[in-house]
Amino acid sequence: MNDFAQAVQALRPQLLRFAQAQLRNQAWAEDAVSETVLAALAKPQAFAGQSQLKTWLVGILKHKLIDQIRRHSREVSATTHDDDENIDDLLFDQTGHWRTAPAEWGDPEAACGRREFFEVLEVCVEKLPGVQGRVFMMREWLELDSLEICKELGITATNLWVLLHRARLRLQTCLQERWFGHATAKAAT
Amino acid sequence: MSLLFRNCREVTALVLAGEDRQLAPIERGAVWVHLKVCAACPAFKRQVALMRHALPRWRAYRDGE
Repeated sequence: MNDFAQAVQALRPQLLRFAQAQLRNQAWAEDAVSETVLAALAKPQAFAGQSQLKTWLVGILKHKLIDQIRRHSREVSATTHDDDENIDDLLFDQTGHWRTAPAEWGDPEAACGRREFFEVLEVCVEKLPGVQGRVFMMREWLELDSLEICKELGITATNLWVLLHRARLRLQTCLQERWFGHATAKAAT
Repeated sequence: MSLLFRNCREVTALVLAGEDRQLAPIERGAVWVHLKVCAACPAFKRQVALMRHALPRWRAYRDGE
């Protein structure tokens, strides 16, 4: 194996983690990553050191992930039911008031300046329930617009907004627990 | 449910919906009125703003490092 092939293979575990976080299906994730690696090895000249190898591979992977979502659209559509316990009921009482008032998170730059913050955010995204996680990643990582997501998943806009609402609320709750309410965040400010 | 006077749960939903769709004028009004008088929700709105700031950075972090 040449250096290029070795460098590509070395990134495979990370690509697989990304693919799994997006598709929430091990077999499809393996397929997307294999296709990405094959495509990369087939035309190494396309890379030509134009950017970081990882950035280039992730760019290919994103296209392969959208292919996978299309290829399995029927199965994906069949599993858009979100059986998540309602996060709103955990956060609000029967009169619609906060059970615990949301905390001040401070200056966005203070959090965004630290790579540990993104590691925690990454964990929180991976912990999202399957359907919410898939939709959230399509929106925020693959950067698809609402119309495309609805089309690919065969869901209504209202359904999409409910899923994104729950995903975003869950993420903020997770970040409060694991970062902002935590000593590591305070130590830096 | 009153159109203009909503509780924290409803306003939170509108604030989050604003990340994914254009709010109707009456919805924006309801958020504005509520944030004026609520002691808890303004902090939530700032959390949402922080997330909006952080997510493109998260994308760059994950795709580049």
